[in-house]
Amino acid sequence: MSSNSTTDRTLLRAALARGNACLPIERLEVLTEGPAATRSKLEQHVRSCAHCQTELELLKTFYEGGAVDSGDVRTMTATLRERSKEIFRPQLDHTPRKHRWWRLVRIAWPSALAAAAIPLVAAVVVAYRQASLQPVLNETPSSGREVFRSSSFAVISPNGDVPAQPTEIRWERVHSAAKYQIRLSEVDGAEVWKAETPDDHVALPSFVLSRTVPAKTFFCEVTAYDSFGGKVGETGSVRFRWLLNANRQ
Amino acid sequence: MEPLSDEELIERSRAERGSPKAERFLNELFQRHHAKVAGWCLRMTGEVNSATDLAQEIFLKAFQRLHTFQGNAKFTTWLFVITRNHCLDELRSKEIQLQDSSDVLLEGIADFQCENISSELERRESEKLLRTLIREALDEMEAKVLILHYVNELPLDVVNRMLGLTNRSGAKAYIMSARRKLKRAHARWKARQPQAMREGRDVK
Repeated sequence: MSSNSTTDRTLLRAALARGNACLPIERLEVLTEGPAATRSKLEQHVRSCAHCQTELELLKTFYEGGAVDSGDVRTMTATLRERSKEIFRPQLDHTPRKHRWWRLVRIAWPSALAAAAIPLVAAVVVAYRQASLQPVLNETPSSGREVFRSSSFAVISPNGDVPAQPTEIRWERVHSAAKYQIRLSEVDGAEVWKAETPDDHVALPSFVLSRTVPAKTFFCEVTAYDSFGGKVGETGSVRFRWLLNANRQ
Repeated sequence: MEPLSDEELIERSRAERGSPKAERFLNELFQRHHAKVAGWCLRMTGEVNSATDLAQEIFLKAFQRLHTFQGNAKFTTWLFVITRNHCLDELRSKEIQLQDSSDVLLEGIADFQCENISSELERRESEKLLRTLIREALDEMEAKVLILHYVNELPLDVVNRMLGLTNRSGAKAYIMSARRKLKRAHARWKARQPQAMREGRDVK
């Protein structure tokens, strides 16, 4: 973009910007439905001020938005109603719950012991089978899974609907990869964040965390490159969404 | 029985803070405004899925900041400010650049070219002159298009949807027409200036 057009824009912005006499939004609000006497005073300024006229038009557009009967808006409001719980839940869950100790007494102790023993036995069996069947190929302090030949590998987490807010992205290590490129995008394909790392995981920065609100869908894509910059694998686009009740579904 | 006003719902939710009742009051409050926020976000993005996500973020933000609502303005106006700012931030975060084609507004008007504005005083004079020309020469819609595009930095397609422009070239047509009018108005202004002043300005 030329420096000329930048000057044009700076000059225009200054000439069109809000002036000292411009009305704050709570005064402009009066013009939408306030008392006639107050309105007429304010109208004098607005009539000669393009900035206030524009602000007022935007405010009216917003006010009247609810009256527009459009199929798209109806679809959106239905989705927002479904997601209402997701909006309130994180904050409401922060309120401390009263701890009722006597409830512990009601637990049937034998059942609790049996319930605790089942996963313990299962874990021992699984660990024994894995130790006896799989030889250790390359012991590195990675997330565990490693891809040797295939050009496609998987995002381990987050993937699909997850019950907790994701704080990092983790994927299978590719044997010949020297670095990984991670791309995070929204449903419309707009890129939210991009990063590169030699590791098999990357922490999400705070600005991304602030945008991963409940029920919002993201797509994550990891591409592996060798030391010459050649592509050696890719995960494809993986959808994930933080759903507070995901583990219950 | 008359339904509770927005402000009354907020009061009740504050009184019942932390209880399921509070959630019910807030749910009712927000549901009243779903369509307003949804409609606005749809105008911004032009696409249902991303607009729904945007609207959800706005309600989350409104919920988190509800304690700052003082009642100086109506709740709807307060929500409008949050909605507008959040949408503008979102557009800026996506680094949507203003289209080059629209940056020709002041082309050919020597007094507004950067090579002729070398001091702060000249910049202020040019700014004052431009403000006068805009007020005198442009109609209401042209000025609105310029403000939305240049001050609020909305891309032209968003300006079209915001102002409901249905003409063939939309906002771009208004910018081109504003350019013609500004050029003519500037020429008229120049003709009114004394000879010495005109030369003084043009020599630079």
